[in-house]
Amino acid sequence: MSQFLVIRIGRYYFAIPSKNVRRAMPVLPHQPLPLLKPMVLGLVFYNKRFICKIALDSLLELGLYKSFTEMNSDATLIIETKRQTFCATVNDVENIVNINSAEILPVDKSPELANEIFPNKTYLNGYFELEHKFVYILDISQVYSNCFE
Amino acid sequence: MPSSESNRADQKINESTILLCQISGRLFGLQASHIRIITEFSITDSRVILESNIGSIKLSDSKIPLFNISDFLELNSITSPQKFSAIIVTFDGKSFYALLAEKILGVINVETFYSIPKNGLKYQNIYKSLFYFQEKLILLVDLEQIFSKIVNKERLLGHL
Repeated sequence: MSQFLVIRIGRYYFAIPSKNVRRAMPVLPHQPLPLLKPMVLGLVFYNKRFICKIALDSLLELGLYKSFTEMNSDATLIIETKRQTFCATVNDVENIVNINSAEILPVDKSPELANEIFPNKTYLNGYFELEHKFVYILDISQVYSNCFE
Repeated sequence: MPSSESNRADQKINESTILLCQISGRLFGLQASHIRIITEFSITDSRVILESNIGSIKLSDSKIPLFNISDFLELNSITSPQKFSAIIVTFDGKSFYALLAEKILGVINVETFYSIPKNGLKYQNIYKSLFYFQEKLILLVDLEQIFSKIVNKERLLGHL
């Protein structure tokens, strides 16, 4: 059994392993800086220090405009992996779910694969069905690597 | 002779004394201890050659490189002032360099510096830290690193 936090970005639902989520909080505005890496939007002040905010929607190639995501978002997720903390803004934070490994299917079996816009499979570790929705599991380690390494 | 403790105190004061300047419409902080003089010039001044990365400025009998860091920092120039400032700096007391700035806002003492998550930067070590000035977040730049990166870039392009 694995525990995930389910979030929404645009029309897609994603699951982030609970062990990688530190907090979900109201949108924290970011400060842009010159010469940030391409997927880093800016810095956010969290827990007495600055951390990077990434453009998760752009990374996943969801075809959303950054301004649209910021304006319509209601949460910033504080994420941790490889002992590094960063954050991302999402449209909705749904709930925490426990999923059996048998319920997790390979992304290539998703009925939504043929959609005109589909999340970049590089960052997906499978999917499961939840209340008639398809929820894609984010590979947070891969997200971190492609944003920061 | 000052004690090592008072030396450390002096160093701390020097490190927290920051010159605020404006480059391409954005405020930056520079460590005041590196700055020797600041001179103002007009764009028609014959002593000055303005280039996108490294030009030159003639001061007394010597000509020193004039660094324009706007392009390197990928800043869009939103103003075309008639007058600029050249901030003359040295890192070793022997070699002198000039930095092009639109405006000098003054010298301030900063009490709290914040570290920058360097994993989010395209280049490591070009910024020393962040601080707040009038509720704005300002970058304290490492000019020595930035100048060195610009020189390397110009060398690779065959301009030097």
